Amino acid sequence: MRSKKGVSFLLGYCILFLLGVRSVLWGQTQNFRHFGTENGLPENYVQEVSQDSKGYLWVSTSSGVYTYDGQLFTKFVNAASKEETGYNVCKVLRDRYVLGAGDGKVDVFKEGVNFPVKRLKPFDGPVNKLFLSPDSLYTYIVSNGRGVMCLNNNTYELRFMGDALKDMIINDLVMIDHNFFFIASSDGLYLYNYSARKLQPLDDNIEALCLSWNKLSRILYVGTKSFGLNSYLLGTDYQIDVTSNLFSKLEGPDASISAILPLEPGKSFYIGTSEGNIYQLDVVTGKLTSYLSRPLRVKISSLFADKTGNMWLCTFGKGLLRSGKDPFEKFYQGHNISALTADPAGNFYMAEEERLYLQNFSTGVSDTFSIKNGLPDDKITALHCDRLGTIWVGFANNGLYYKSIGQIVFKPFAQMELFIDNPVNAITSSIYNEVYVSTTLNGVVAIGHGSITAQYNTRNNLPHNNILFTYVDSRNRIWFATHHSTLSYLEEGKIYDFSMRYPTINFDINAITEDTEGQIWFMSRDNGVYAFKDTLRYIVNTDNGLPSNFGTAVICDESNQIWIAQTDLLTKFSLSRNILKTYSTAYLLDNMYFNKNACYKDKKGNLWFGTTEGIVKYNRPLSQSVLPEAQPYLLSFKVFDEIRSLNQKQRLQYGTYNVSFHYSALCLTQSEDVLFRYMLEGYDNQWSEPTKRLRIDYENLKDGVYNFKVMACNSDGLWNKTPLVYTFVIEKPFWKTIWFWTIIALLFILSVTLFNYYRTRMLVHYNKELSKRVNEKTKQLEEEKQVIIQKNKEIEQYNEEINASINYARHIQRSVLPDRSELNNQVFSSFVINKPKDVISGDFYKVYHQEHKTLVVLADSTGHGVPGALLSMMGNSLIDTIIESGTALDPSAILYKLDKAIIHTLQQKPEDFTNESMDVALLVVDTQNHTITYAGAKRPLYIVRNGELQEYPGGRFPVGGLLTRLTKEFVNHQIQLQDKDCFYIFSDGFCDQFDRENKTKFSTKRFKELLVKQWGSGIPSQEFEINSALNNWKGSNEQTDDIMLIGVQYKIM
Amino acid sequence: MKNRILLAALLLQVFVIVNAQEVPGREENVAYIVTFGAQSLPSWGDDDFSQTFFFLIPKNYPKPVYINVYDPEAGGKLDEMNGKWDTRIKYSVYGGKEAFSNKEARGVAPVKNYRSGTLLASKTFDQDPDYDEKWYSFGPFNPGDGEYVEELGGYVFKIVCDGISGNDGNLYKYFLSIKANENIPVEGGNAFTYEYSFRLKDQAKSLAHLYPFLDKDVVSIKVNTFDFDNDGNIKLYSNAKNGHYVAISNDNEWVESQHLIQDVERNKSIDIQLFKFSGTNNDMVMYVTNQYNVPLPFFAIPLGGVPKYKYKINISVKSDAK
Repeated sequence: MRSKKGVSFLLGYCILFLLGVRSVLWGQTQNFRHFGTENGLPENYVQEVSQDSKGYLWVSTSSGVYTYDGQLFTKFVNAASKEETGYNVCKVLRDRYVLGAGDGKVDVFKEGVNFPVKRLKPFDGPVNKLFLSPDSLYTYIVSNGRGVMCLNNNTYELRFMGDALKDMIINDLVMIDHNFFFIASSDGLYLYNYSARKLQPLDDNIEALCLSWNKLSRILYVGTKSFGLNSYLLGTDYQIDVTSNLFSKLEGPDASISAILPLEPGKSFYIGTSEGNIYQLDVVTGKLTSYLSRPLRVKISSLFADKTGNMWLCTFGKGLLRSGKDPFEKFYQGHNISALTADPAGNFYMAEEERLYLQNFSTGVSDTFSIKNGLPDDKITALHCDRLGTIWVGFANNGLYYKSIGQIVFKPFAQMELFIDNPVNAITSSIYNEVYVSTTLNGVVAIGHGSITAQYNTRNNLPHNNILFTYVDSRNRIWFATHHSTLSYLEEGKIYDFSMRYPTINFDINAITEDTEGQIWFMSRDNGVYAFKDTLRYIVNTDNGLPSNFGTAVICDESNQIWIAQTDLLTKFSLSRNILKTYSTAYLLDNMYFNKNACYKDKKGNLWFGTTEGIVKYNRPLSQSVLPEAQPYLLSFKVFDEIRSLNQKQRLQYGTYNVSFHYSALCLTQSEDVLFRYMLEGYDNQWSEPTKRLRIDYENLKDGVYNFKVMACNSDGLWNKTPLVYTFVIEKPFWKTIWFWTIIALLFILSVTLFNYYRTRMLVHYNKELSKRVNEKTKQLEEEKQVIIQKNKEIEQYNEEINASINYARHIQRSVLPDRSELNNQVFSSFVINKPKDVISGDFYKVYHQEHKTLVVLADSTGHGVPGALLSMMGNSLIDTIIESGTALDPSAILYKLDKAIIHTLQQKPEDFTNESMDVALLVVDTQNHTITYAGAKRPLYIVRNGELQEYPGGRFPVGGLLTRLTKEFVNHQIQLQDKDCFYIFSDGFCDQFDRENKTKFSTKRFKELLVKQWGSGIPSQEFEINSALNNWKGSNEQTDDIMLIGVQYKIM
Repeated sequence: MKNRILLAALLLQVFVIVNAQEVPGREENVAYIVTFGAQSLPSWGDDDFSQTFFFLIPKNYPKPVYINVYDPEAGGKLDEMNGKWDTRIKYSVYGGKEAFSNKEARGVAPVKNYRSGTLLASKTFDQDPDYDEKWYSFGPFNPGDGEYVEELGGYVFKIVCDGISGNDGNLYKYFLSIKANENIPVEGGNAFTYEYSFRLKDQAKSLAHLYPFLDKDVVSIKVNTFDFDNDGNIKLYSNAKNGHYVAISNDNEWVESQHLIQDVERNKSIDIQLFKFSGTNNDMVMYVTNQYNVPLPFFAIPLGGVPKYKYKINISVKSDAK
């Protein structure tokens, strides 16, 4: 007999079981993103949402219509009108938008144009709702209490639908055809016959809130206020044939269906209730699935599914919610699931400490295995389902248990002793269904057909006995992971040390998986993830974007994406796109930690992860298509906070500017993960780091061409290929422009040209003037020339006359000079060098013979030319007079007399200050006594004897001239001659002769050397040599003075 | 401006004191409000078969609101049958522009534009046992969909109850709530009307209170009553009046009485107390106008609180000296 307690326990257990089933049905959660006044949407009362062809959402709220791109809600305004527009309803056509306002106006906008192409005023009261005909040809404009207008979307013709629709609240309107309409109103469900203007009640027992019409099946689904979802089959005669209530499982406020969204038309719907619940109703099976763990407590105004698969919930009071392709679901929250597996029937086995749960998420069946099922009271450390569906359970201390498919009792493995106090770390099975059990102390045990077939440990080449994890790859290699930097695998019964090939890699491995290309991925304990095939193919770690190098599990999904569980993060690595994406708190993965190797891929490709807060399921995407690119676009370009047009390139005047760019990107799915990168070419050197910023400011921009570029990436990390570019120009200052410099250059050239031209003209003018003057001058000169020629002729004539006179004078002078033979006889051999500077000379010489005495005089008169010649003639004459007067041949006496004679002749007085005089060298040779008596007036006598020269100076004063008051003295020198003595008397002209450079005189010294040099030479030779020396010295230079030299060689017979 | 501040302050004070916007208000001790079908006789207690009430939601109130109607249909044990149940009652909720500000909306008779504003919800009830002695909810309404009235400091919704047809009497109540089918008051909300059609409690010697509000410009008031059936007395209480008698009407009769208003009574509510002798049903209508014949509102929750008469103490000194 069962005890009451037992019955109670069983009953309680059943109740709990049933509750558990129910709770599982309601345990799934959807991830919703909320948009309300606190995070972007300016209004919490949302009526409906639609989507245009570009992908933008149009959100109708009581305070306006907003467009949404995934980042920003932007109020739609009529750019042509400055007053508040007041749109609150909107319908999106293919290329146009119809908007209704609170003041009754209806505006039609064309795509891309911010002012209405048509404005209508169907009512003088607010437009409450807009409905589109299925073919989008008509828009039905509803104003509660005023009626319904039909707008032809092409012609914009308005047509009043009849008074019958005037005084009612229309909750929904569906066009059956152009004549018949379903009307949902608080007073019931009606059929409106437009042509008859007749409103026929179809069901006035309900308050109809929303409609969904399936044209094919002719079934109308009606959401009612109190009776859930009704369906009505409409006959061909527009009468209701069948009515049924589909949705009576819920009560109270949840029975009020305020929104319907067909999922599979006629088969399943999403249903929103006035209580704020969302359900999925399968009409065929009647299955009801809740999407919310708690109701929102506000009415769901409408439901909408966008083109990327997101579902949008419009609420009356809590804004807008998006249920998207957020990939994760959570189950068993609050449970620490350390291992999991599933059998072929789809039953999941999940371990939490010593408890083993069974759950079928499809059927809702669940169970808990414990001692009653034969399991020990011990911590479960490993779970595995082999190819035959046998569930293997490993324990920390109590060995290995298994259960065949369909059984509910676990049996201990026969050869348990190997596993007692030897924690089982992992279990796997090969393609031949050999089960491999990895242990802490004994390596790996292979089990086949219920018994141990092999053991692998350090005794047979397993590098270590503590095997943490095993994995079977597609080549049936069994991989063994350890924490001892060794990785080995078993292939065809032989163990290979894989880690030996890569000695530099630390094979401290936590988990292993294989991708669809056969690459083996190893999750290291603290070094990230490696992938090998024949060689090392990938390293994924913190260096290339992995959030952490520590990992607990790794698994590959059907799309060949590697999932890496890391403590509290889940990272997905897409091999095809080489992109890492990390999921964290935004995906409800908060406060949960992924357990080591607690992951499983089911037959449908979904991934399951065991965590400290239950199970996280990654739902395999229904399609393999990737998320579309997020398309960036520019919202505004401001210059000093003033908005500038985006439609044309902005050219700003020269100056310094502050500009700002406001941008966004169209991406409705997981839009919170959209990132941007921007760059202002001309200012920035490189792209910015990825950011969520939607606005960027630049300050102090100088002149130049700027290209603002922005790129966006979607939640998969895919950056759009072509960045958005907006170009603007800040004009250069005029002084930096080419035209300015061109003008400057042109001006310069022009000025140079003008200058040259002017100068040329001036020059020409000047030249003309000059020519004129030249001509005049020339003429004048010509005239003068003629005069000069004439004068020249006269002068020539005079010259000729004068030259003739002078030549005659020279003739006379020469005739006066003694003949050279006077000093050439048996005793004397002599030469005379007489070179007048001009035609006639101031130098002269005389020779007198008296018995055995010969007087030679050489005189140099003051000046040369005519005056010198005159003086020389006078002197010549005076000497003649003195000699002829009987004066003894006494040189000194002669000089005295000559001096007086000159003074007397020229009437020289001391006060006259005249200096006509003569330098005289006067000698008397006594051939008998062989002596010379010499006296000179400022002239010396040179005697060269045996190569030596002796000089006998003359007196200090010349003869003639009264420049001094001193008494003149002329002293005789007596010199005894020897045979071949040569004596020379000369004027100063020879020594004063300048050389050919006219710099140096011949000089007395040089003259003496010349004379000495002549010693031993005959007189003709001496004359030749001395003449040559003089000519060589003089060159072509002008003769300085009259030159006279008498050289005598004395022979003693 | 000062008046507005004072009014807003009074409304706030109302919130502090009481936080229920039920109609009839708890303070009033009135059984129900009543609207008869259009084919009824006025002598049954409803002169115009239409009743308009206004609900006030404070500005910036964030949540959606509901107007719940108790027993909206004419049928069942609560309502008054005449012949057979044949009355259709229509409720229309208005908001938006002119819902309140239109003068005729605040009139005492359903004329011309009494249905001004934007129609937000509407429902017609026949005899519907589903709602017999049950609540029906209109809404949810976005508070912003009401008409913003600066003097009142909030958004005003108007609900008009019309007896479309039939001759039965519909007895009902209202509640301004934040939940459908559950009466949870809107904080700071209130309800008021300009012509009150109501049923007194069918208790002998019961005392009902109505609280019209006198603004600062009121010099005198006229209290108009209809069909009181001479069933007791009506007195006026205020800061300055301690039970001034108000003229009472007989069956199917309108009667008015004029009362001067003192300074201390302005910007305050007055208390019109209806003392009922008998224990039978009595439906009646009342409205109060100022010196310009402009109707004054009856607030479900008296603004400024229930008035209390302030006694004056006159002291005179008698001299013994002669």
